[in-house]
Amino acid sequence: MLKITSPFLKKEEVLPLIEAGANELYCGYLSPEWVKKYTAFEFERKGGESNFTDLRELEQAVNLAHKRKIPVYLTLNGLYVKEQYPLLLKIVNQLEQIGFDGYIVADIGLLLTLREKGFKRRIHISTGGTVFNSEAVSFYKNLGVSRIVLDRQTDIKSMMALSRDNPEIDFEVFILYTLCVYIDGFCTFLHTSGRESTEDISRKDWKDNQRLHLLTAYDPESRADACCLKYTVGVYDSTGQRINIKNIRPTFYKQLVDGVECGACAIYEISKTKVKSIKIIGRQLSPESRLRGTRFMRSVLDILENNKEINKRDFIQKSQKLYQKTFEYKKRCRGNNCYHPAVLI
Amino acid sequence: MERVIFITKINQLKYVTSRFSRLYFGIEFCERLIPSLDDLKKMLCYIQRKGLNISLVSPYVTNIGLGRLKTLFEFLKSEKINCEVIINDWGVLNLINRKYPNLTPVLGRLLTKQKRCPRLIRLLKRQLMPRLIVDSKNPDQRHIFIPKILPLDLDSYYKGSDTSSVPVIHNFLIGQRIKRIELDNTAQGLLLELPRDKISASIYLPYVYISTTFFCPTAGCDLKKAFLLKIKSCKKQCQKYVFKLRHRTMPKIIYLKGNTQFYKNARLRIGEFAKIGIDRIVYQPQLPI
Repeated sequence: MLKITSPFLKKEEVLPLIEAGANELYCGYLSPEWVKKYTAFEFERKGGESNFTDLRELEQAVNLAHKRKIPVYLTLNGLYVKEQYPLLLKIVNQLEQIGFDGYIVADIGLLLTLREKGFKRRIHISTGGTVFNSEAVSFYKNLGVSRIVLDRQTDIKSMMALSRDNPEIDFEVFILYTLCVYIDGFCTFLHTSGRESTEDISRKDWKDNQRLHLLTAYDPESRADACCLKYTVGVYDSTGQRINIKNIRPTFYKQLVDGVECGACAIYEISKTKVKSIKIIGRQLSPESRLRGTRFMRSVLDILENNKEINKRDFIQKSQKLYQKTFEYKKRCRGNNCYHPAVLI
Repeated sequence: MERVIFITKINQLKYVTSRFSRLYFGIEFCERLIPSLDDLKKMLCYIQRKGLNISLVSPYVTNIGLGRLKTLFEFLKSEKINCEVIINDWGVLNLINRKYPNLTPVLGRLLTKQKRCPRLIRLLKRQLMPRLIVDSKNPDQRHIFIPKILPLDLDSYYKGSDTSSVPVIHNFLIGQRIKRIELDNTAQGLLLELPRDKISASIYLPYVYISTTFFCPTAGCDLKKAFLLKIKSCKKQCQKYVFKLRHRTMPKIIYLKGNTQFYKNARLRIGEFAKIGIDRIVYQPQLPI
């Protein structure tokens, strides 16, 4: 049966997530030394607040999970230039004192370095590794990788083929929250809001429409990821001539999202592949969201486990009802929030 | 400095002039646009007539696209044609090294991992001044903005990349028969630390790729019925339309063609390029889709 891999950010989340049905956990670590030198701006392509910052707390969290026989993986899925390696390796050496079950990496240099230095832990390739075909699986297998996290845009057919043809590699797929509409490993847009802090410095007697805030930011203009912006669109033909026809527009998928992004309906088919685990996104979300997501996925898997004869249509119906209840979504599921809308056809 | 022209279709041969000694042919971003065997044969005839060198450009691929590439590679192998292949997928590299020793891999720009977000142009200028700004979403809210400046230690991160600076990667690439990497002419500038005489670099002008996707935003763009699903059928609308996207937070116009976004930077600094190990300029006469 599929395992659920859940993110966590605090030691206090470990036991509730396990009780909610998580079979594996993953987290990140942002070292204060790294922040001092390089800031937390766009650390591992997110803002720094999505990570542990205290090694002791992290170790306690890992030990807590291990007492319940739950493995914990650490994400180190940034891209690192030469100048960053001395500090990066110092941090990795610190992390080696904690008994993680493995690292999730995207950078080929880090992967090669970990192997070169004889680090024995399991290495998972994140979506940053951009694996879409069997030869890419072989490429990473030859580098000693034991699990590949497939990109969110990998279709079920590909999951079936890749996992079937490479039984010695574990495959993991994302299943809930933040669906990237661009290929994660190839997207070079900044993924951080740029705003560091906002403090209301209004005088007490000032009215609501006179508020004044102190804003510190690297980029005050940056309020959303590039894929979520409402662009002004000009349309041109292949010769460069402007076209003024209103209904020629690209689809901005993120603007169609009106609920939690979810792949639950696809679990019926995913469970027939050799994919081993489904991963919930959400280190940057609230603890409640992470817990809710884990419970939801556990319940979806229970639908399959409690009725092995269930057909696909009934499974999807039950999953959608559960989704509507869990995430208070009042509309009919119609594909705009779906990871795998093809399963609805 | 070698000058190369990059075309994606046979009808773009009109752009080839005597300035160029090499031709790049193929596609980086969509396996549906991989050239047919017929087109490859026509291109090989052309370059032979004109005395040009050729590099075949390949995209990131699923197993379906891998099959299409194998058809082209098998032909090149059977004709004993040695040429470069620009690879944008580690799987294609694996395939070439396993079965096609006549093909020389070159690391494509999707794998050289530069940071290309246009917002970096503003951030790395470090010219922001404290000022009063009004929140456009809540006009009643006013902010005194105090800029934070990115530390200079991050310049090598944002102007360089892992593949252009990290020795263990260089050794790996050389072991994989790669002696050239492809780079974008990012507007914030470039910092490279390549091992000279072992790995060279090319620079692409003027279109800098930013992001790409399997969920093609252009597919179905001219259909009357609105599609919400991410799996609209492809009628190659990318060959008909280009979209220019503007937003006040983006310092550059973004060009969306097919499934990929680009911005334009035509600033040519040949002297600077040569100093940092760039010895090939790849000219894209049109958006390379």
